[in-house]
Amino acid sequence: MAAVLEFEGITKHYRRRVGLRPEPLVALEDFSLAVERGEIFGFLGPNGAGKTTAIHIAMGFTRPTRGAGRMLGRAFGHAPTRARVGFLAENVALYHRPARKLVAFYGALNGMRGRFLRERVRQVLEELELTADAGRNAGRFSRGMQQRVGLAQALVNDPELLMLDEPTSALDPLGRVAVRELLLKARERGKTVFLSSHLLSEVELICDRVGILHRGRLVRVAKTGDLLERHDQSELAVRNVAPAMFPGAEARDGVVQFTVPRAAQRAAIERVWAAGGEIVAVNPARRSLEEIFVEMTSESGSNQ
Amino acid sequence: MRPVVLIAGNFLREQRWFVLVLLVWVFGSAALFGLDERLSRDDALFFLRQQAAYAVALPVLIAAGAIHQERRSRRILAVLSKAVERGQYLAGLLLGSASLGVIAAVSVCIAGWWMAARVHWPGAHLPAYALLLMAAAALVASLAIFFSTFLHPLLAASATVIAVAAQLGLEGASGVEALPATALVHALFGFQFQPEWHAPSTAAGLALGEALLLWLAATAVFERRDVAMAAE
Repeated sequence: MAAVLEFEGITKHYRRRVGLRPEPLVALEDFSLAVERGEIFGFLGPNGAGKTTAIHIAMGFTRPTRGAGRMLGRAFGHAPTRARVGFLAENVALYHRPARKLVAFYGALNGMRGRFLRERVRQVLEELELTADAGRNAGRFSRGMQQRVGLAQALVNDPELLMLDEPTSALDPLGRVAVRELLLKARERGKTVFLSSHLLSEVELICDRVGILHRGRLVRVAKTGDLLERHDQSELAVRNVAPAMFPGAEARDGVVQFTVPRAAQRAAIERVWAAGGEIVAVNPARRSLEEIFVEMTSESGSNQ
Repeated sequence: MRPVVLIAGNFLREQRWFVLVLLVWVFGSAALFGLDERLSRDDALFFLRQQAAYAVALPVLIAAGAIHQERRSRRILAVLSKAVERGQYLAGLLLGSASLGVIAAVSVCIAGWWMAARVHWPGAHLPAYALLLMAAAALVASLAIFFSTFLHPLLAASATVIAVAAQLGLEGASGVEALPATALVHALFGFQFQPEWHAPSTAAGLALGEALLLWLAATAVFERRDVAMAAE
């Protein structure tokens, strides 16, 4: 599949002033990544890992110290290509204009005009449940509503690629569900989403692949399913056996669940049968994304 | 061209309270001076020159802080995430700042016309005077925008003043005619309501040409700058 976003060996050093002396700050170090068309890519990392810097380099806001990259087949910073991209910044800042006019302004900057622009503005405001407030000054909205207007301006040009930096950080649970559905719909329509987020449960739910960045280096990239599954462990769900038979087993609603090493799976099943129990399910054991994130970004994990 | 006009319009809209204060100031002070029965020709001239100075200074103040303000508020990110070149963005800010100068120039000249009529002076040269003011506003705004691509707003405004003062200091030197500031300053602040006054149209043209060159130079600098304010 074709890559719509490619970072090739990107390094970015900033100069941070400590006292009178500027000190170099490494934001990204030899960062390479390819995001394929039609996927939702989750971009994770602790604060200061370099996620926003990577997005800013891709959008052309910041120049890399070394390396290069391509967005939709063109070098980073190519302005006409950005007409096919939607971007939402981490902290949304809006001009003091009615939401409808503001979204139309951003659409017009992308070359949209006339009835087509008006119709798209109406659609995105409706999708983000902003129709009732479309005539109000967006600069005075609550943070959550500003984030929705920010999403509306990112979506108004019906972009092929969405670059979203913490798009749901200020939203309430209902707003998050709505955005999640919006992103899933976008994927169904063949759009690509590059999603930077701290909300790991959300990333786990919707992302096809995940990349974990730590101290400017990409420490892991994998399909979400592959990342979460523990191939060396199996999770068994059984009935009619005493939980005490298996160490670490938990009983819930009459179903006993426990994890065993893959090599011991057959023996465990035979023990259940021998005890007169019934096998309900056998699956590869799963870890949460949070566990993996902590492991990857902790000192020992990141040094592995 | 459309993004430039959109950005300029938006910029001007953001400054709407400033524009309102400017209009109240110009017409309010015109009323204060002009309705005085003791208004003399010297008073009318003083008013016009004083307001012209403000009309030239205003775009400097606004333009010098424009980029910094947009970067600090992070509003620049949403604008430059669209199909907008850095040069178009700067042209939008420049057009917006210069438009403030145009509004100031027109209002100053309307108020000046009324005051000239009160002291029975001809106001026939005032449209040409307004055009000179606009050219001067465009020149100083482009200087301020250029300096603000790499300097703090305060330093950019100071650098603009120094650059204009340096041109004035070079008066009489050979080749200085190519720099229009001296001719514009003389014309704007040596203005008399006399039929023999002539607007230096060459200087006005040169000012616009210089503004264009400064925009090109500002674009060259700004294209190499990181617009996101700070590292994570």
